[in-house]
Parts: sequence; structure tokens; C-alpha cells
Amino acid sequence: MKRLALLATLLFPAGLLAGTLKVVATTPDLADIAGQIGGSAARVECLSKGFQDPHFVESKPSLILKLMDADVFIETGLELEVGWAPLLVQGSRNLRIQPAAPGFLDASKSITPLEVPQNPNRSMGDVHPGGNPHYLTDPENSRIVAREISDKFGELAPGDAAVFQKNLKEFEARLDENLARWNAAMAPYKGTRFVSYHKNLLYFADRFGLIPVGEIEPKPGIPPTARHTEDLIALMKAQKVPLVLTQPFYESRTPNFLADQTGAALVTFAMGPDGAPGVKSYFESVDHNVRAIAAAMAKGEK
Amino acid sequence: MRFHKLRYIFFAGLAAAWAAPAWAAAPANALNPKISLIGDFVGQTGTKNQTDDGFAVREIELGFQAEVDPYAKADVFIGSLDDKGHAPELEEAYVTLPALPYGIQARGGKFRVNFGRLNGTHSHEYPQVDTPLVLTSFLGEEGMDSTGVELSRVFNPFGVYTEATYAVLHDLGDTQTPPNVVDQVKDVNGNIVNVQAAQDEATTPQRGRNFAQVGKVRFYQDITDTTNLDLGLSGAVRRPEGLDQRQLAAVDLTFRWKPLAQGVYHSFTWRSEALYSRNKLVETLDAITQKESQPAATVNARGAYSYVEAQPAMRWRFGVREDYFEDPDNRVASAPHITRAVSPYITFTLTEFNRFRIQYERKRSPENGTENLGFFQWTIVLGPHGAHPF
Repeated sequence: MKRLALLATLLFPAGLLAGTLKVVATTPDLADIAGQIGGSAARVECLSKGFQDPHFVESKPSLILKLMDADVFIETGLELEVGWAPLLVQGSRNLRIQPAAPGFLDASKSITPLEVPQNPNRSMGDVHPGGNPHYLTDPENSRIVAREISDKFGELAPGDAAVFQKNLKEFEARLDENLARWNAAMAPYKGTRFVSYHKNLLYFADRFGLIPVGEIEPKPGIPPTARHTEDLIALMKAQKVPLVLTQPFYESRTPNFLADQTGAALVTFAMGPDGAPGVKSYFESVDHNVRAIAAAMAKGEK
Repeated sequence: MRFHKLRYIFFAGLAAAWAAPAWAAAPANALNPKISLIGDFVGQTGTKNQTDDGFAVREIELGFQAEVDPYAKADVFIGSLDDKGHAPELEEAYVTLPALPYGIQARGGKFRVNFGRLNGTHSHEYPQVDTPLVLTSFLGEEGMDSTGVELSRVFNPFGVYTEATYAVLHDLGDTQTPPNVVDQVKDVNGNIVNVQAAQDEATTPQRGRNFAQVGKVRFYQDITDTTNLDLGLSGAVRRPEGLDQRQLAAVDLTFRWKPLAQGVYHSFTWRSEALYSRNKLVETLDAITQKESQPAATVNARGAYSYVEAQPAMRWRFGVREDYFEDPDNRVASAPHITRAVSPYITFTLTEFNRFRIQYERKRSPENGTENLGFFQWTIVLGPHGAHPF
């Protein structure tokens, strides 16, 4: 710990001890949480949009410019951004945010990942060997991430540590308040079966008691085939699955076809800020998802 | 007493193991380099002499990549493991220092030189089955690779990404082979025969100016969230005393369109690269008669390629490439030795790790006249997911 503190002191300019941290996050949900924790003591930028597939963001040189003078780089981890973020970090030539440096934060490090494959191989599709990386669909995991971010900010800018702690407390209070509301809104739909486009809603399902019965992709990263879609329709009819969840970065033809064929409600699930029209923050994205699912289920019951 | 001590150690060990932090559970091979293997299987038909027709494993490339320590990263690629009996060849082996003071990045070792647009990437990542003809002609079959040191830095004038790269290299790879240079010598019967001129470093004293120098400036700008322009200006020079001297220049321009929301389904790319070569050839004397067998000459040549590629669906890409080049090795002909070609192609990407491609090429060259070539390519990737270069 002493060594870490010494390294941080060497790498970070003295003015930063009570200044404004420049933070760059890979995805809008992380950026929003970082913004809530950093408050006025941090300036947060994001490398992607909420309606972009976080697996396939292009490593454009213009994104490198954002990282060149960053003090902190935050990634989702569990290899979600493995196809693009490493090139940006290396291309930034910024020693403060290289993987071994104090300014590099893998937000997944205290998360308990779901779906960790025992013997991962490519016949399983594009699997993540460390586990499913879409853990922020469970709002309870945002508490763990917020604590990690607060600790990291406090370590790098000890002069503002009290501000970060205060912001963390306020964040957790808002989260608790919202969680109570979300739990109440989703309680009637516990046990609801659903189909999603990609296997990215397991954490959300786990939190609110929904049951995933299948995905539109036959395997992670593999586009749907006619045969698989037919099988899925048969499965949905047999199990009376009332809900199809998708995201704006996937093609809409197959989810629409599934909904048409089975009578299931089709809901666009926001993966974070900008993940659906009018959604501007992480809490709003969870709010949108809960409301949209509850509304679709209530409509189905009528 | 001893029993109690052992029992204490046993339970303490058990407790420590149970309470071990997550990193303690990392597998023993966690620090091993990432190993990848890329296989490139190609088929070709329609060549004039038919010697190159048929199927072949063009290359098996073995890659090892790992962090050396907190400050350096190493990349090693062993290539040319083909089915034609060629010996394995060290394609690249370099160490990168990603973040030196003043925002400088350095790499040293053997690497594909950052010259032009495509030369820095491996051939199996090229957008077509064959390498653009001007690159093969000007930079050699394997492209410009060499051993040396490269420094680069990114600037941000007026919000434009500007990357400057400068390298000092042992040579310019295969680009300086003078294939048409011959010496005339007498054989044992007194007959005059042509032999390859002795111009390689093995027979020529090394001088201080033997190093090659390569520089590139790259400008990148987003036009909108979905479109961008990429411009590169490159130059390479090698002026060894007493040997042929080579200067190369390249301009590359790329326009890209890719929607943010459904970028995996649609894209469009237009890329062009133009090269200029200046070969200053030294006078070559006959080994025995000491008479001039090849006069000093300067050969200038130009060449370019341009292609457009559209992706209408997740797995499909359709494109067409046009090639033009003047042969920089043809020093005899007074008129430029021009080759032209046009090559439509289709790429089917089953997954990121498994790709098929077919290509037709109509090529017109002074040596072979008009050729109608057909290509097939199947490329597979084994190993961990790597980042996609932009």
C-alpha cells in the first residue's frame, strides 16, 4: 500500500492532490456513476454511446485524444472491451492509465461474476472467460462499482477524498430509494419468462426474479439462423413466454418476427444512458427498463 | 507439543487458503504470454504459366504477446510456416515502451514498418486476398519490415489527431533488392555469362550512412459521429555509400462510414494509397574485365491502388480494387513498364475467427499480357481475442 501511494505521488502532479480529476470511462453507465461520485471534483468523459454495442466500439484515433491527459481510465472489465480499449490505452501514451498504473480501474474487480465458463472454448461462441460482463444491469452492482470508484478517486486525489465519500453516501441513498421502488414495481412479475437477443440480462433477471429461457443468438456473438428462430418460437409458445427484450444495437427484424409469431411483448432494454430515447442517466436507464417491462406485462394481462 | 504445532499450522493454512484473495486463485499459467495462431489457406487459378495455380497453406502465423513488466510489452510473430517447405521466419519481434516521458512511445526490434497504410498490418488482415500490386512491387513480397528503433508521438493541433512516427532501421527490408542488376563474367571455357551483381552488404563495407530512415505523419479527423477521414504522408530513404540508393514516398487517404447504433451490420470504406519510388543505381563493373557492365541510372516509378468496400449485412462485404504501377526494377525500358488490374471481391465473415473470401482479378502486364485470375481464401484465428486495429 505504501508502495502504491509512493507510485501515485510520483505519477500524479502535486496540483492534482486537491484539483479536478480527468476521468475517462468506456461505457456511459460507468461514466454516469463516476460523474455522480466525482461531482465537481472530477471531469468525466465517455468513449462510447449507450446505443452502441459495447463489444464492438471502433478504436478511433479521436478517442485516443480523450485519453492522452486522463488521470483515471475506467473499464467494465471481464473482457467486455477487449476488442477496442487496449489499443486506445496503449495509443494514448499516457503512463498514468496503463494497465499496471494506479489510474487504471477495472470496475469488475469486486463483482461476483455470473456464468463463468468452466472450460471456455470458441465452440461456445464469443464467450468471456472471466464471466458475463453485463453486471451493471443489476443496479445492486452499481453500489460495488461506485465504492470502487470512490476508493480510486480518493487514492488519486486525497485532497478531495471527503467529497467523494460524501457523494458515495448520497449515491447509495438514491440507489436504496430507487431499489425499493424498482423491487416493488417488479414484484408482481417475478417468475416471468423472457427471451433476450444476447445473453446480457442475466444479472437483471437474477435481481428481479425473471427467468431467461433463451436468446435470439444461437450462441454469444453468432447471428440468428432460421432454424434457431423456429426452435425459439416453438419454445416460447410451449412455455408461454410473454416477453422479448432487445437493444437498439441489434437488428430489429428477428425480435419483431418473434413477437409477431408468439404474441410476446417486445421491449427495448436500455443498457445505460442513451440506451433508449430520453434516458440520460444510469438510474434513468434502470427506471426505463422497469417501467417498460411492467407496462408491457400489465398490457399483456389485460 | 509438536502435534499441536502441526495442527496449528494445518488449520492456519486451511484458513489462509479459504480466505485467500481472488488473485491467489489465478491459474499458474496466468503469466504466460497470450498465444495465437492464424492460418491462411488460399487457392489461385488463371496465372499465365500455371505454376502458381492450385491450393496452398500460404501461412501459419504463430503469435506470442505479453507484458514484459509495468513499462514494456513484447510481441513476437513467427510466420511463413507454409506448405512449400519454406523455413519458419521471424516475421516480427519487438518490444514496445508505450508511455515514455513527453508522450513518446518507442518500439525496438524487428517489425513491419509504419510506412503507408497497409504495410504496418499483417497480410492476412488485408481487405483482399492478394496484396495491392504496387505494394508487392515497391515494398517486396513480404512488405517493408526491418530491424531498428521507432519513436512516435501524438499531437492535437486544433483538435485533429496527428501522429508523427520516425524510425531508424537496418535497411528497408526487401525493397532494396536490385533484381535486374547483373555482372558479366567469363566462365571456365572463356564464355561471357551474366551473374547477379555483388551488391549485398556481405561484400560491401558498412558505412555510417547505411541506416535507413522512415517517417510518417498521420492525420485523423471525425467528420461526423459516423464518418471520418484518415490521411497519411510517409517517406523512406536509404543511401548506403557505394550501393544502390532508394527513396520512397507514399500518400494514403481513407474515408469510412459506420453507424454507431448498428455498426456491426453496415459500413463503407474507400481507401487509396499512392507510392513514388526513386532508385538511384550505381555503376556496376565486370568482375574480370573491370569494364562497365551496368551504367549508373536513376529509375523513377509511380504506383497506386484504390478500393471501395461496402458491408450491407453483418457477415457480407463486397468490394472492388483497382491497381496501377510502373515497375521500379525495370531499368532498361525507356517507356514505363506498366501493370494495371481490377479486382472485385466478396468477403464472408462467419465469425470474427473464421473468414472466407473470393476474388477475381483482371490483370494486364507487359510480361504476361492479360490474365484472368481467381482467388479463394480461408482464414482462421485460434487463441485469445485480440484488439482490432483501426
